[in-house]
Amino acid sequence: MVISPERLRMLEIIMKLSIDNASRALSKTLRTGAKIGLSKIYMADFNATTEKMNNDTREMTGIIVNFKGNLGCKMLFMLPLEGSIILTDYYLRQPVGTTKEFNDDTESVAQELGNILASHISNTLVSDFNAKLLPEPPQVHNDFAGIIFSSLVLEQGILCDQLLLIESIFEICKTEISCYLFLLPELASLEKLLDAIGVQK
Amino acid sequence: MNDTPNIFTVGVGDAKITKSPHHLKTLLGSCIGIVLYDPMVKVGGILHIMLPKKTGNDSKLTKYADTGLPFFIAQLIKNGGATRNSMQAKIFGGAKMFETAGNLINIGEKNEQEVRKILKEEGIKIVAAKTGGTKGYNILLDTATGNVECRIFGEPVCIY
Repeated sequence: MVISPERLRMLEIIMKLSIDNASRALSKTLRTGAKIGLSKIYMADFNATTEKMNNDTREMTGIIVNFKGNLGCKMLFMLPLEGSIILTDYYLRQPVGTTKEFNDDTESVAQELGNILASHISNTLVSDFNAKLLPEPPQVHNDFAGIIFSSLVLEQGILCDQLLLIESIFEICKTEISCYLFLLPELASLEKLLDAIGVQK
Repeated sequence: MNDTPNIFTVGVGDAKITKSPHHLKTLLGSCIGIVLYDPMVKVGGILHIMLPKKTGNDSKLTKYADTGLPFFIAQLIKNGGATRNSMQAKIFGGAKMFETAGNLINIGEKNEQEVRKILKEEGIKIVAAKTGGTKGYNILLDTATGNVECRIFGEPVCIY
C-alpha cells in the first residue's frame, strides 16, 4: 500500500500536534523539559528498516501500547536502560541516584509514562480524526534496541512489506537521555479515516 | 577478492550468505535464526524466519520456515558451493516477547518446531541450539570457523 504525498503532509501536521502534546505532558510529569529533537513521518521498507535496527544493540527499556478502536495503532516509547532508572527518580521526586537498578518502581514508572504518552497522543487523534482509540495497558520490556523495535513492527511486517512510521526523539533536559517515540498506524484503517474526513487521495 | 573481514547484518524475515573471512549477524526475538555452515568451503549463512508456515500470496519466501529453509539451502549449494552432506545447522531465538504481540505470543515455540522438522526432512544435522526464554538474542557467525557468538540480553556471551 502506498500513501499519497498529500496525505502524508496532512498526517505529519496532525502527528506533530499529538507528539507536541505528548512532550508537554512528559515535561509536566517529570518536571523537566522533554524537548522534541526530531519528528518525521515516512514510509519504510520492512526489511531495510529491520536490517538497520538489527545493528542497534544498545540496552533499552521499551514500552509498547496497543490501541484498539477504528484506528489500529501501536506506540513504542524506548529509552536507554540507565535512562529509565534516572527518570524513576525524577518521577518519584527523589534525588537522582536513589534508584540503583531496574526494579518494580522503575517498571511502574515506565508503564505510567507509557499511559501518559498514549493518552495524550490518542486525545489529539480522537479530536482531529474523529477516531476511536482505546489504549491497552502498556507492556514494558528490557532488551536490545533492535529487538524491541522488531517487536513493534513484526505483526505488520508479516502482512505488508511497507510500514508507515512516525518517529520522534525527546531529549530530557538536564540529562543526556534521548527517548525514542515510534507510532505505527495500521494503514488500512488509517486510509478509511482519511477518506472519512475528506483528505485528498 | 576482499579479504578484510566485514560484518553484514540480516534483517527480519531475510537471509544472507557469505564466505570466510566475513561475518554475519542478526538480532532475534520470537523469530528463529537458522545458521547453516559448510566447514569444507567455509561458507555460511543466516536465515531469519518470522513464522512457521507461509500464508496468503506473500512473495517473500524467507519470512517463513516452510518456504525459506528449502530456498536457503538451495542458495547455499548453488551460490556458495556448499554440499548438503557437509552442511551443519545451529538454531537460535524463539523467545516469548511482548504480550501485546497478540497471536504471536507463542510463535517462537511453533517456529522452532517447524524448523527442526524441516531440517530433519532435509537431512541436515543440528549441531547446536539455544532457544526459548523471554529475552532477545544477538548472534554473530564467523565464517572462518563456523563459530556463533550468542549473547542473550543480560547474560554473558557464549560460543556455539
